[in-house]
Amino acid sequence: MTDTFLNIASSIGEVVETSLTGYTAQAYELDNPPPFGGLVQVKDKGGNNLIYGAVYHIATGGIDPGRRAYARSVEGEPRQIDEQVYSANPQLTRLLRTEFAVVVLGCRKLESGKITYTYPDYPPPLHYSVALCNDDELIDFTATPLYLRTLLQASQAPVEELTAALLRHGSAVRGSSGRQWLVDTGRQLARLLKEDFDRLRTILEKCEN
Amino acid sequence: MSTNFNRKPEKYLGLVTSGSLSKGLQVRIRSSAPLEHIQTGQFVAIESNGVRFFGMLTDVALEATTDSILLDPPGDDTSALVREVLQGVYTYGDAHVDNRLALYQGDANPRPVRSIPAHFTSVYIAEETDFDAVFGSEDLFQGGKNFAIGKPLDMEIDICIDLERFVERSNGIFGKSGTGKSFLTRLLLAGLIRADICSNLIFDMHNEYGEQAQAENKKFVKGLRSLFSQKVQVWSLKNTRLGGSGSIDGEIFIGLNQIEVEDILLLQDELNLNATASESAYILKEKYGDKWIVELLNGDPEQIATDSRANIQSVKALRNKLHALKNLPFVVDHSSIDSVNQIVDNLARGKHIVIQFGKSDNMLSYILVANIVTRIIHEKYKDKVDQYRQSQKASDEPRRVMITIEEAHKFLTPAVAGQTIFGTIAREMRKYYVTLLVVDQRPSSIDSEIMSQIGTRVVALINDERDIDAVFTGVSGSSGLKTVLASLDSKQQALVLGHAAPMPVVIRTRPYDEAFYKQIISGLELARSTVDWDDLDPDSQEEARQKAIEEVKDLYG
Repeated sequence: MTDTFLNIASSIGEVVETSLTGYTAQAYELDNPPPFGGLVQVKDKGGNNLIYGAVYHIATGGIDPGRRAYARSVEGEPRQIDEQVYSANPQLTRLLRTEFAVVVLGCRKLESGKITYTYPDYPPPLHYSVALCNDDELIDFTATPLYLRTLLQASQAPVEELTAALLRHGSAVRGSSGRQWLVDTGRQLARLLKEDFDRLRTILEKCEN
Repeated sequence: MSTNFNRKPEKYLGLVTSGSLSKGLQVRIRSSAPLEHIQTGQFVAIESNGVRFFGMLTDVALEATTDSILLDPPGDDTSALVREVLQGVYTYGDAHVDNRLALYQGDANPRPVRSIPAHFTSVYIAEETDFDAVFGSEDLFQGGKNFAIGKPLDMEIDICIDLERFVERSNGIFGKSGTGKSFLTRLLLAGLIRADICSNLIFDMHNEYGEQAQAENKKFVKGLRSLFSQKVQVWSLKNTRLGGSGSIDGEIFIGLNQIEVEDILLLQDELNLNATASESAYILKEKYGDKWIVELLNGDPEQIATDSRANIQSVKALRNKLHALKNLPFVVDHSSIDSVNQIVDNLARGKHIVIQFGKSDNMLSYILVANIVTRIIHEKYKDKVDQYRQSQKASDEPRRVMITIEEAHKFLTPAVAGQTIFGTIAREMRKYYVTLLVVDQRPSSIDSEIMSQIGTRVVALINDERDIDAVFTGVSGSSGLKTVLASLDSKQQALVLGHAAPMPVVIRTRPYDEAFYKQIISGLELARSTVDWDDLDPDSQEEARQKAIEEVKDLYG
């Protein structure tokens, strides 16, 4: 059971800052984080639950918070740009890091495989690995739209953009039935946003591209 | 009867959100079908805690949860997804359901509602099982007392009315000209004759019921005698027969001695009588008895006025106007009531009689004859019923008679309804075993007291507000039905409500065609299609065989 849901091969980062409602992780490779709105998972300490969350923030910067990166293209002749900068300065991959922030949306009990749309009992442990969920898991998790309410209340995240991104992923992995899923989920969203038509419209319009 | 069966998901309409017993239920539409496909007049079923409610969808409204969406409505430039998502959540349809019947678990038949379903109970568009539970199925094979009058708008299943209940009261068939009143009437009469529940007397003003009639599509359809041969007799007025209209079983002539003052008053419009006419007529009747018209028409008016102490001008005017009667081809100076007696006897023996007016298809002849014949029948039936009440022998019980009159408002206007025999029959109803089948296009002209006594109403399209109001006189909770009525098609659709129908229902009228002739004559055609012969045990097979033989004998002599 455990193997089905915890695919080590797709591990993509490591938790570096954690709380019950969300955590920050560092990507294993520079500039290789999970996508914005991507569904990620991390095991809890006892190894009994998977904690699901959506990526809402991605940032790359220096390892030393005191030292800011500076422009490298201004040195040397001829001028080196884009990837050439990295080739010319291989140490950069060591000096820089990519971090991504995740909002926690729900858990899955590994024993039963059942998904609950609640916070876990304990936050994801520091230094545990974060993996990007595969398509089946994404379909599983978004089958019931109960995660939407938590998502809409995530004050730390750009909620409209994040919801739209998650819905786009959910619709894309479903292929031809994606459109109908989008309409059904959209309706649930509309129920939650009964009093706020403009917000709903913003999200839905972002879902379609 | 179990009320739990798996309903088809596509029949899901929505859920009950509010309502009351008196005002009906509000149903939030959650169906997967687009709003455009939800029509008023549809029959719905609501299952709630073991009770199955039946109602009719009478109205659909557009609603929105918030005003902001109405202030800035998503137009054509809005993405399709937004519009699709809004439908059913921000904007939704609200249906109004007129709840009529309830079937309690363990009951065989539904009863009028005295309770309402709980909040958020699921509402479904009715399926065959529901129609079956409410309207039963046609039983031509077992006598045909349950008669299929049509089918629902969107399903292939029979809607039946109980003919035994139908004949217990006076009934009405209403509709604008050209909406199929005659067809509905012919259909019901065929059902009644087939089931042999009552004798029918039909005043056939336009010669449509006896032999054959022309439908609007120029085709000819069979009349009642062509269908039922000897069970139906065609009588015509003396000297008025049209060429080529088939044989007749008797002729009617009216003697001036048979005409009562009441008959003349009914003809007020047709004869253009003035207000003093009735007074003079009563004076003359007092003086001369039966012969008052003959004396008036043949005698010297001044002499008559002096003798009877009536106003001379008034007598002269009445004399001039009553001359029109004498010119009618079937009116003679003196007649005994033999021909009408014969009609009564035939009716009592179970025959059905169509009275044709042939060439005399004017209002004057029609009203005069219908009134006189009906009056005499009513008198005779009164005697028969009194005799039966005294003897209390089953053999003396008179056979029920239903009298079909077209243009009924002429007999039943508020001005004359109190005096005419039709008014009396409509009010006294079944006490004297004579009821009316009123066929009319102007129900608002019929006395409201009489309209309120009408048991079963079959209503085709009517547009006039006053007529619509009139049709629903004496019907509770009719406001929703009015919208349904106004939205009927102008052809082959009707609303059936009242005594013989368990609840109001919109039907597509059963076609009156070859298939119908076959079914109605033998009843076997239908029986074969519903009961597989091989499924019957040998006894039932034999019984059915005997029944068929008897039926053929009965029909063809």
